[in-house]
Amino acid sequence: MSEIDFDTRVTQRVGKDNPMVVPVGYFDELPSRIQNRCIASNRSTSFSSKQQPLRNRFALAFGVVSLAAVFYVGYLFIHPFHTVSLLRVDEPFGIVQKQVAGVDIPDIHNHYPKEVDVAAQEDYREQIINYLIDERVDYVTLMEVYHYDE
Amino acid sequence: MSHCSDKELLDMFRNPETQGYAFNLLVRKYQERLYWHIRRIVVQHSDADDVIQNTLLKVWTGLSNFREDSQLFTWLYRIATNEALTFLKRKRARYILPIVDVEAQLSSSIESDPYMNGTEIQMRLQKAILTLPEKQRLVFNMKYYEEMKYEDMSEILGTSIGALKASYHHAVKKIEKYFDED
Repeated sequence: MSEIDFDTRVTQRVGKDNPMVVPVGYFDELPSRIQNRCIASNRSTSFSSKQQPLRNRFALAFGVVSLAAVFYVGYLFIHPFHTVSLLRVDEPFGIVQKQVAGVDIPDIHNHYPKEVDVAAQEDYREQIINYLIDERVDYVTLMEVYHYDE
Repeated sequence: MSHCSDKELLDMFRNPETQGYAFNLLVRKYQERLYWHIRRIVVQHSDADDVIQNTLLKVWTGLSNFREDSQLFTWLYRIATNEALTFLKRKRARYILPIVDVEAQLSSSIESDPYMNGTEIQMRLQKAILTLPEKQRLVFNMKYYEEMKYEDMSEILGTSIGALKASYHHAVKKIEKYFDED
């Protein structure tokens, strides 16, 4: 049976009338409902587009601050005792002064190597302490040790 | 002004001063055709109402990008079809059990639907249409009720004319069988 035959047969029995209906006045109201939704959609789009640059700036600032914080924490993690060692710069000399009578602290400061880095200074201090405490040498001997290379 | 051509409507829409007015005219011109196309896919009025609103909202946001490579009405139909099919897909996804058949549910709701008002045989045809696979159902409705040309259907559904003719043929056979068995 061809499509035309079917159309004729079914159309005769059923017809092409649509059994579906809509509420009264539906198509009169639909354009204004659509218009309202479009206006609402426009408002929300323009609001979000106005907010966007401000949001971007906040995000950028937050990112920079976060990055700085991460670097700072990382720095502290790598050099955990850096600040502490700076605060303790005179501590070895105090120990020396307690252990050895007649030590001239300003004089030791003058002979202390200024050009070497913090780690090397720590080594020097340890050497002084160990030497003085273990060997109980006097200040003159200490100076001789210091100026051995010179 | 309600008989504006598509070209006139599009020209008015591109002018910011007349954009809203042009869109209102466009809605008035196409709302019924689009609504009935959607309604035949989703069946229930409340669902069709949601889908037509979403469709026309998409038209509003996308119309400025419409390039006129195709006819305006096929572009509108394409959006409406996609929205309606997506709606049905979401409806199916809401049911956890795969045995729940949305089409069967729609078929059983036809008689109790307050927005169905047809003769008994018209209702039977609706139920027969709901037994068809989705693509055949689409093609049958567009051909039988809307009397759309295969060329336009091909542009809307992105299917070859031969495949559309075959779909309609299979749909007709199944509906005949449904009526013979009933």
